[in-house]
Amino acid sequence: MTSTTPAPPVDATEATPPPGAVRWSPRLERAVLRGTGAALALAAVGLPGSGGATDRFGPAAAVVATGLALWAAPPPDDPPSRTATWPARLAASRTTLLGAGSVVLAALCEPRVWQALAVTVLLTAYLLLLDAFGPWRRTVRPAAARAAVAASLLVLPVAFAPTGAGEWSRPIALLGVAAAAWGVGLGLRPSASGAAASGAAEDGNPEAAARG
Amino acid sequence: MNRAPHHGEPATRSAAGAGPVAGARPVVGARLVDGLPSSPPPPHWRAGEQTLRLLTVAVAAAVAALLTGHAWLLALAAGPAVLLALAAPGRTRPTELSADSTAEPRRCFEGEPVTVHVTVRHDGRTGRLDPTLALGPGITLDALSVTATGVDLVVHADSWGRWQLGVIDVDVHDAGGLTRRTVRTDLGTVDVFPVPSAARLAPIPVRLPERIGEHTTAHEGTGTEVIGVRPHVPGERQRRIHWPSTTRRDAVQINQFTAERAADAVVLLDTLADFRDATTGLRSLDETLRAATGLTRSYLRRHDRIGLVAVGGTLRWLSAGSGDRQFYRMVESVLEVRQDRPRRGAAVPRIPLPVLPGHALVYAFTPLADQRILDVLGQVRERGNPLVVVEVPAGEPAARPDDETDALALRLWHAEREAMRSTLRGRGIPVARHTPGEPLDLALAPLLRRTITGATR
Repeated sequence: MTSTTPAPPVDATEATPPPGAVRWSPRLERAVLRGTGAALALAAVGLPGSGGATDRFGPAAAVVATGLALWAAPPPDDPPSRTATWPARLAASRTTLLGAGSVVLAALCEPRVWQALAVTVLLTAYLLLLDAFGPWRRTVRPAAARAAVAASLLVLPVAFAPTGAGEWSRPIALLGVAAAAWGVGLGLRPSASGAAASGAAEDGNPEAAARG
Repeated sequence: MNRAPHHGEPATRSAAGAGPVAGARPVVGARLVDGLPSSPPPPHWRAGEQTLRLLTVAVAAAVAALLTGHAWLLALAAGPAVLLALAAPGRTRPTELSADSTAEPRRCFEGEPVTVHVTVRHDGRTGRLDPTLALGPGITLDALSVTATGVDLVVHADSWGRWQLGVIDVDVHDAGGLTRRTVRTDLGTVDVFPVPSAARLAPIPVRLPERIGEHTTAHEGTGTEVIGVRPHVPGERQRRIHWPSTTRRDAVQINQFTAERAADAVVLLDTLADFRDATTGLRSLDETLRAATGLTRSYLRRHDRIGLVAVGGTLRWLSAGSGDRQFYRMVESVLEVRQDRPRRGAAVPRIPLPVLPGHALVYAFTPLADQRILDVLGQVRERGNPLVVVEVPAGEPAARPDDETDALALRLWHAEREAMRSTLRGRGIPVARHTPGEPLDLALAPLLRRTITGATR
């Protein structure tokens, strides 16, 4: 008769964390994410008089948005499965919904500069913190974080600059957005020859890398 | 001896392909899914969660800016867009991805750990690995760790058999973590041997073959056990003189020794059905083979010959042999009986003649749950072989305490088994009852006090 002891719980936490990954206590990480998410939602709802959700739906909108943000800000521990129902899938993607929802709420406002600045900084910070504190603790490169914040802060002064907008403004903006999207897409596009070159270099074959 | 011999190098299986499997049960750093995947994983790179999040926010902000005319909303799109662009793998994304696995050992006993190494091979640069594991039936995951180059697993099987370890899908992310591709590899199979029940006794029938062995018989021979004295016959060796008797009788007396013979035994496994005990969770098939292997070891230790026949599904048999290798040969011949379930028909197979050597003692290990086993035992009896039935009780249904119908059904169930026992005893076949978890000797000891005879042909 075999004597089998109960199997211990699966321990997959031995995965080597990426160098430079932020290691705080899980409670503190979730608290930081909740705080940032709630602040983002509050900023996106807007103050009374800004024409935002508070003015349209009353103060309850701020309360509801903050409550939802407190729930949605930390990423779920369970990754979504393909057999999950739509509500379960939406719940699994709640961090994405929080980010996009904040954008939609902010779009209802006619904010002042400092309000727009707060929403921009908080949204960028929330996205960066999600990567740093998410279940996989991806390394957030400081240079990338600085570049993202700088890009956002660069757009803001231009957006609030006192220029006369005409009928041609929107098509030009559309062209600008399309150009930016094309640039991002170009960066994401894989390059087969480049991969081969990189692989050869990693294998210690500089000649092959040079040829690639 | 508690470890099966390992033959050669660890087997290696490899495959390339990919995709997460439905029904995921998440664990930290890995997912476990129920059932083996039926469809291949998608073979191309897909956007990861981070990519979808950043894209969604950026697109939402850009569309909102265009719809509302609020240019400042483009600032909300700029940050995610820059993060996406800077995380793009570009020229470093792998073009060739594959995974292979090695498992060690491929042969083990129940409950022993099997270590599986899954190695992901690629060109270019990769990021984290995200494994999704679909374990085969009967396999339990003990530990899982993800390394930079692959995944290490420790699994074990609780029951004997030839088990498929499972399939693992490894999501390989690019260096920036934006896209992922899945590679799949089969973990292969493992032969799990039963842990034999503790058994030391080896009852023997009245008639034994004329081969020198370790069993003391009632006949005179050249063994070591003295059974009496008799008058000396000229020509006999002087060292066999029994001096006390010689002095008393005033005539030379010679020691008489027993003959020592080897026995032939055949284990008959009842695999007609596999019942699960409602209270203990034990399966009749598991316990049947564990008890049978315990008895097999007991006979092989005495250098007897022992064979095997399994009835139910495909008829599997192995002619009698001796030596340590015979144990593994016997177990390997029945490792796949669980896969015979679809082939278990209503007909009772005929036992081939070479299976049962003349006068070989046949042990029938059965839960006495299927009436057809009586027909099989009848065939053995017709051949004239001495027969012992070892009942391995399992599969007793659970009855609710206050339910009269359940109580009546349970009584009928007990009565049916008692009727089968009575039928066997009425035919002169001893029935030993082996309780799983107890030493087999407790069941076999009463057989030492009686003679085990075969039927007349």
